[in-house]
Amino acid sequence: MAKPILGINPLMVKELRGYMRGTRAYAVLTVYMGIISGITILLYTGVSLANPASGVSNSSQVGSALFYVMVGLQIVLVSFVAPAFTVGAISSERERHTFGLLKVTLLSPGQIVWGKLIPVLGYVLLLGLATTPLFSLAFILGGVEPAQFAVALCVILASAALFTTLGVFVSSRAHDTLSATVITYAIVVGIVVGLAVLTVLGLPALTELTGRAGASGAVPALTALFVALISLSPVGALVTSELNFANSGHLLTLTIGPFAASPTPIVLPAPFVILTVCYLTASAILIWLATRAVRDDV
Amino acid sequence: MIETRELTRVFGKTTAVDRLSIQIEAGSIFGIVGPRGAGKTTLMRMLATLLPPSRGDALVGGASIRRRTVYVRRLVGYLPDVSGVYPDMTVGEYMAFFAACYGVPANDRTALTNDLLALVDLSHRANESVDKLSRGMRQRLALARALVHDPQVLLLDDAAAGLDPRARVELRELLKELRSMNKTIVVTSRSLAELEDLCTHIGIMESGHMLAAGESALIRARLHPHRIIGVKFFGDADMAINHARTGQGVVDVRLAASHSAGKGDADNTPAGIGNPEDEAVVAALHALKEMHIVFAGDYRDATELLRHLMRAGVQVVSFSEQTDSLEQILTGLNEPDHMNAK
Repeated sequence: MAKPILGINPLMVKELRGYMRGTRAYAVLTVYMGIISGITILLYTGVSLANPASGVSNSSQVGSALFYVMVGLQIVLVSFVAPAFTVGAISSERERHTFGLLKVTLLSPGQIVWGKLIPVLGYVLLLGLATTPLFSLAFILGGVEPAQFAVALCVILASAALFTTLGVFVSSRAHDTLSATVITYAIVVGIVVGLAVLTVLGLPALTELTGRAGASGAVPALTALFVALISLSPVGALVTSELNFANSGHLLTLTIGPFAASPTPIVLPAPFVILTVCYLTASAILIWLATRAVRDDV
Repeated sequence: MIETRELTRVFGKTTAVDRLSIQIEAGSIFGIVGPRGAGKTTLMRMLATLLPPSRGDALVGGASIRRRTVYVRRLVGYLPDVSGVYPDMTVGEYMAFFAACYGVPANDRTALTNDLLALVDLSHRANESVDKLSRGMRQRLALARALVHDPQVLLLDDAAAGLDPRARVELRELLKELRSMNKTIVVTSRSLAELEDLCTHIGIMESGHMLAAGESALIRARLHPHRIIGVKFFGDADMAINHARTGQGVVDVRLAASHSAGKGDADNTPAGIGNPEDEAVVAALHALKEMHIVFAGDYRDATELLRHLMRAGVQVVSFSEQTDSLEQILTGLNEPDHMNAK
């Protein structure tokens, strides 16, 4: 009889204990909290000094700035710290000669992958939760709406899911942890940094193009494609979604146009919706592929 | 207990195991001997369900390794040639973890772990880090891990490799104890001598084929129709050879080549030895001779032969059975007379 993959299994318990037993988990947590707290204090001090007149307006500026800085740091965390915990998930078992021992037990390949993935996701969640008091500070100061928080949360959680599963998947295919690390971070940098650079460089050019009189009929399609592309970047999706919400008041949709060639505006899902759906789908596919890799590994 | 049917595994253009059909009886210790690359590990990995066969099948406890993988895993305890450990775990935790992976109920794990650690004499190390164990201890721990779900079959791939002589003796004793518990044990090695006394059955493997397989005594008789007994002695070589030839069961007697070449040759003394004590040792070594007796008798006859030589005045220094190297055995098995054993 097949065992449920999603339940708690001994490997999951072992991994969780392993993370919390060593000094690494606490060291990462302490350093992370220290960096975020330090940046928060610096930011608060900086904004307060720049606007000496106290009041609600100034307070909301500080709150808003704090919120976006913390969201940015969370994205950096899930993008670069989370994969560090998963790139050796399977390859280190091979290197330790324990992979075969695990495979001959009654654990299914799915349970092995899940047992490696959940503890890391749990740990990343713990890092995120540890910063909750700082987020609450942003809310106390004002300038942040619950909808903005919801958008940020979707982007962060979807990114965490994708980048942890990416690490497990590459680890299941790579010969050793070093090559798994190189491959994983190359992909992460491509997604996070590459697409963010594309957003920064492409957005002004596209704005100019769409505003130009007599633009060709290809512009709407190009614009939609560009929106879809930047929606795959956590930074791009977050910025465009927040800007869209601030400008139009629509949380879940993004309207582009009308264009000279197409008078009817095009309505697309908001970038964070595209990102969440794409990342979660990609995560599911990566888990499935990693499970197959574990099953077929000889 | 185990039956392979035309079991084959191909890696690219290499056939690691080629149409292998063997039967291993329940309660036996089956030793598979072969050189590196013979296909022993591939066979073990297939029986452990780690590696799917390219063709053919194997039944473990009547269950196909292809179709009833989980059932076979419940029956089999597998000890690979290199058995890894988790360095951040204690010995007790390591055992409890694998017990959990095999579905042993949480309430039974502590008692089971204690029993198995006592069996492999590691109880006193239960709370120590696995990382601190010696290689021999790790191997014993790995054996305990392989027993954690009380399997009927134990697959031990080159289990004695890298162990010191004492650890090897301990492992052999442990395997004998496990056999007394009615476990079926399959063990591989590159050394026939390592398995000969331990196993009830022996299979000789080379290039993916089982060249010969059967009860140890029969295989031994097939491999060594005549025992070779090496006798080192002092004194007259001709006299010793003539007396040896009259012994019961003696087929032929030869003077060992290295000794016959130097027989009575005083000029062979190495230059530069001036110490009288050293010279005496060297002289004694040169006086020592060795003959090889091709012997058709059993061990009782061999005892009688030794008495016969002593009574005749041969100054016997050592009297021991010579063991063929694996290469000699494989060469012998590849000769036409043995090919029907495939």
